[in-house]
Amino acid sequence: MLGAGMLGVISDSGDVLAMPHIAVDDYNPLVTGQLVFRSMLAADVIADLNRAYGVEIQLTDTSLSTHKLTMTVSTKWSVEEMLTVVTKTLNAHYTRAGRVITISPGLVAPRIPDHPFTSENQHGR
Amino acid sequence: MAGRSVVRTILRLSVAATLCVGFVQTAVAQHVAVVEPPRDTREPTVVSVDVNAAMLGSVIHTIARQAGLVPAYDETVLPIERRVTLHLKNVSAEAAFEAALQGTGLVAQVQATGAVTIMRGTVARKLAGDLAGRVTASKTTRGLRGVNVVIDDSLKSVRTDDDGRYHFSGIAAGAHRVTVRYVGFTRKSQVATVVDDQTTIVDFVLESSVNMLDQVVVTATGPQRYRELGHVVEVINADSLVRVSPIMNMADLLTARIPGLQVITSGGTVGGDIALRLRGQTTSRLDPQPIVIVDGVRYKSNNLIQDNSGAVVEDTRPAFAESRSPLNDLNVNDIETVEVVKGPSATTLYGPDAANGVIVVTTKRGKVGKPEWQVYVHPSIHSAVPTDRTSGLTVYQAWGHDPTTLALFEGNCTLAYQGRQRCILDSVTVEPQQVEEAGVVALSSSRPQGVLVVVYAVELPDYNTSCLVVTTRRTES
Repeated sequence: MLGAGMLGVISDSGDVLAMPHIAVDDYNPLVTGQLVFRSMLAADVIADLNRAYGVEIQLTDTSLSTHKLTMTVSTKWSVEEMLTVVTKTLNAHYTRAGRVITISPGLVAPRIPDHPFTSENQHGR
Repeated sequence: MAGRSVVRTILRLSVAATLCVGFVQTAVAQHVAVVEPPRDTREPTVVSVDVNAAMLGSVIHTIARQAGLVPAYDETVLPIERRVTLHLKNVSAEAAFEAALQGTGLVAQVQATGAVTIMRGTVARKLAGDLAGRVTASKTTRGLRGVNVVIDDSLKSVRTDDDGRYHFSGIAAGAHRVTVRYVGFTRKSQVATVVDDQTTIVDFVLESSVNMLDQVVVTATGPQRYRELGHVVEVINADSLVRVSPIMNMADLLTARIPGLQVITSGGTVGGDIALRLRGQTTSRLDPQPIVIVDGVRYKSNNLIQDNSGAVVEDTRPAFAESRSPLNDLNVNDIETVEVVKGPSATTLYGPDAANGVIVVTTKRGKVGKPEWQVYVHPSIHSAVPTDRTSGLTVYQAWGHDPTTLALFEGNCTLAYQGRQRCILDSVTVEPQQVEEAGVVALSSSRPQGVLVVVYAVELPDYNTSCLVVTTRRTES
């Protein structure tokens, strides 16, 4: 019998495993709308984000995939807002072509906005 | 490693079992409060941190939690186990992050999503962004020009352009309250979260609001709003001035109180004629004086005088126009306000005679409230104050002498003292018998607005002394 704050798991062999006192928010992204990452490899974070946002994020530098990230991403964020947080944390920048998003190390130089009243997303800045 | 293997198994199976889906790297991760990342509705927050040799990672989470932010960092870069000591009280979250990250080469940036990213401080600079937007009227949806836009905590302000747009540059990243003000519209405020190196857009839609009351001025054409008046009007509140100043007549009331109005006394006699000049001498042959309007009626002294034989004749002196003014015939205690209309523009209201200006006098009216009594005395003396008590004890006392010592005591009621309002002749008691002996000319009249005026003129021929006692009673209208 599972209670509040417990996690239940059915193994391949049919065994049922109950784990008490878990961080419930970590297991309920569909309910809370938040993806919680703690000390997680960037490659794994990217994989989860790909699934959550329906995009294909690629890391041009494989060394980035070994970085360990701690962050919380709300599924209410737009793709651009999510990518801004990820790239800034990785000290990187991104380019986008449809569903395919490429993250490269390093910051790009800031672009001058075409119009001073236009909101401009400086990719990776 | 065993723990990691278990976790991976859990991940695989938990999806199939549809019990839960999780993203777990370690089952014993440090507890972090999950906060829904807020958007642009946060008030500027302050945080307090008091830690000794605490782990940097823990401190970052503490600051973020107090500020309602969610941290995002790369543990490859952030030394989370670094020990830091901080004693901060009620500082901004930005300042707290800066203090915590000091010496690490890292900076914290607040994003519009409410996330705060810890990243390499490749450029040591203050986090700042731009703030811009448009202010429009709700009814017309058009941009409002000249609207004052203020960032409350920095007191920076700009005005909108022709299209109602405004723009701030270099605003410190974080939450700021922005307030817009415009005449005829309600004031509005919004909290804007400025993000580093980005332009935050905050638009305002103002509702019209007309609730300012206009000052009213009474003119020949009736009460008008002050700003609609096409000419200069100066107002003297005589009622309040007379209470605190030694004002005995209209000359005292007008002197040095109206810019451009000269009050010229023709002689040294107290209460004598005065000549008025508004904006100087405007004519050499015609009457240069302003006209006087009392309660809406043209007010003018007749031009009759007594000649040397005592007969009443018409004043034909050439300087008559300059030497005679009806103003001193008015009792200043009966006057509520005096409005002075300058210049030829007054002719639009009062006709060509008003080419030199107009003095508009409004007298007091009855007011709702408790009855109010005001008593004042105008004494005059034709000879020296009697110094011998045998010549009349009553008068002797009335003028401030001590009958027992034959000496003047301080505060005696000479004209000079009255002028300074240091003396009130309440001691002047006029007994009926004395009044009869003195041949009193008693006048009594009531006015329709509820003001009762009683005038006693006391003549004491034996002592060449006269005393005028005027009692004004103000009652409910």
